[in-house]
Amino acid sequence: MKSWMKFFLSLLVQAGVFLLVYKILQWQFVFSFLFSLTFILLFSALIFEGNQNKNMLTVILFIINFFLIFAGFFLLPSKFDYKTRSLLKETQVKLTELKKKYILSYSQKEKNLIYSVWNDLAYSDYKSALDKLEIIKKNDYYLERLHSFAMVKVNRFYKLVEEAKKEIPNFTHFYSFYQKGDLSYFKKLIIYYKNTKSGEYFYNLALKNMELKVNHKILLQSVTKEISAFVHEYEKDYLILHFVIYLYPELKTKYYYKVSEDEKKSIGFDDFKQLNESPKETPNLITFLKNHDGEEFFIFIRKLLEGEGEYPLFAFDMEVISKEGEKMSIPFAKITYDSLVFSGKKGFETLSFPQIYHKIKESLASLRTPIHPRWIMEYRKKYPEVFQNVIKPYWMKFIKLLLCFITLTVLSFFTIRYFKAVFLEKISFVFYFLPVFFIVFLSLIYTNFIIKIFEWLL
Amino acid sequence: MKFIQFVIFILLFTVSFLFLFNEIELHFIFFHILLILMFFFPYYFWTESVFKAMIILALLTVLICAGVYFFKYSPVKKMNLVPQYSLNIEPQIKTIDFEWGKNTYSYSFQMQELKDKNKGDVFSLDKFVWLHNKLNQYKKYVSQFMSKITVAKLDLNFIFICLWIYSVVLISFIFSYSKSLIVSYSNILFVIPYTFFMGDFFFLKPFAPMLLYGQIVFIGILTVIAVYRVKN
Repeated sequence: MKSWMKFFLSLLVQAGVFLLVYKILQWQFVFSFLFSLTFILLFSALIFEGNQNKNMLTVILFIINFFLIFAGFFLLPSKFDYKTRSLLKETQVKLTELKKKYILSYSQKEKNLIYSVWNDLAYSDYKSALDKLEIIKKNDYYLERLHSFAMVKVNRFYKLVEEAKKEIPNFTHFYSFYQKGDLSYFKKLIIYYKNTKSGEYFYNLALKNMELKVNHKILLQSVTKEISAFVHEYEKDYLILHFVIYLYPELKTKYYYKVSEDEKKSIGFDDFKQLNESPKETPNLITFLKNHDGEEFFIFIRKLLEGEGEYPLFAFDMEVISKEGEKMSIPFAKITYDSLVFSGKKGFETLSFPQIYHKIKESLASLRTPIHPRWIMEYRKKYPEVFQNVIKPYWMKFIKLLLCFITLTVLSFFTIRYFKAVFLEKISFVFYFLPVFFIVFLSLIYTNFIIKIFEWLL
Repeated sequence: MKFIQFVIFILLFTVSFLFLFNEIELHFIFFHILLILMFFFPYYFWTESVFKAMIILALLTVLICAGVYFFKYSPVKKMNLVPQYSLNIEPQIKTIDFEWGKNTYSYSFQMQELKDKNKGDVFSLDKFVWLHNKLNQYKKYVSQFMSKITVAKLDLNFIFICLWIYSVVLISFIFSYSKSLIVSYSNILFVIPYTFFMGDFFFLKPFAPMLLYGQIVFIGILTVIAVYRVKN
């Protein structure tokens, strides 16, 4: 047989053996490749070139395999998916669901009613406020809170009315004028009882309400006062402030400090504004972080969402794993400069990780396929944790593979030399099938042995 | 030099073969060294002289018989070999494995899944169920077989063992092919079944004069064939 034919036949045999083991038997890539390598080296030298001492074909096959392994690892496009892209449909659906939960959406009519509820509260016209809340009748977190806030005020007011009835004779009669809205007459009647506690209160109330009716500025001040009381009442409920600012955006400056504090501890509709304008998602982010106590955590984010302003970041389906192996799955989280905010069982929960935002932003820029040699130094400098936990072990494995490759080649050449040392004659075609079985067996035990040995040693 | 190469090959072959098993005993190792010597040794001394060949075959038989006799002194000790390995990188990166704390994780970039790697996905030949079962069966069978050749004291039964060894050596010699070592070694495909089958059903039986007579006749025939092989 001509030498080039032998060469192509050998390559075909190797490809066949590799595909059989890798694709059909579904053994690992490393095992399949090394097995096919050992097999073809022994096969080409002992069967194809049985009577030649130089084993040129075997040497060429070795060089080609060496080239193949490098080409495979360095030239094949990697499926390591890290590229940023516009939102996938699946993510869009998830985001819309979340927006429904977090974003406030009231119709203009409802909005007007809520505004007038606040006005009623400012006028201390609690009955009317409660009636209007009944009209909106929305099973809504914020309106429920507003309702209970109004209820407390109503109870307090009726208590005062009861007290006044005891203190002032004929107060029931006077009060009917207040209810009708005839405030000036009510004021005239109550003025004689101004020296009593209840009298003073209702006189001032009538006076204030009369003023509110004519002076819009004072009305606004009064409404703001009511809002302050409401915000104070629900101080720890971060969403309430979002609700207030949604209705009265001008109040944002007043609550600037509280808003920026809450921003670190809650997710609100304001955050989602960022995601309205062409958000982008990046899959597969890995990062290693320390918390305030120095405990290390491994964090991986299946999808990272970035809005126009690039702050804050949002993570879909993330997992936080401690070194002890404790796992925490978070379906949706906001990433601020130094914390992770997510909705837990008891409202919003915060995990503090210094510099989490920058670490994740950096990982966006530097996460690449770990096999590229150019990035080894880059990772070492910029991302020592990822280098230590992911890149280094990967390269160690690649080096192990190369070591196995070289050792198996040496072993194969020794075996070839041994078999050719005594009888240097080309074997008859009749005898081909027996050595093939033997070589398959030999390749199998050699490959298994060498991989196990390196796995044990390194 | 040739002899050193031979010793190295035998050692490599034995160790590689034994590494197919996850857990082995010292008995098992010694038994296989003896077997491999019986199978592979004779071919190395293809000589033109009948006298030389016969002496080497006889010498080998005596050595192996002595080995089998001292077999009972080998300590019972189990050895754990590397059962599985995680060297599973691929040119196209679909997953990344890494250690974190006590656990090893495997993250699949395509499936976007994080798996606890200790719970599977580690490669071992055991995964190939057929091979795994066959290896286990073989191990069981060999331990049964070894009990037959372990001798408590020198008695007539030991003659049978020696004859069995001699027949195996002769058979592997007869089946060898003078022009190629690889073809000769490949004959273990025939010699292994012969070794165990004839051991079970013909040689390793309780002592009986008629059986001894039959065995001597059989070995006589084998010797004649062996001498004929050497001459031609």
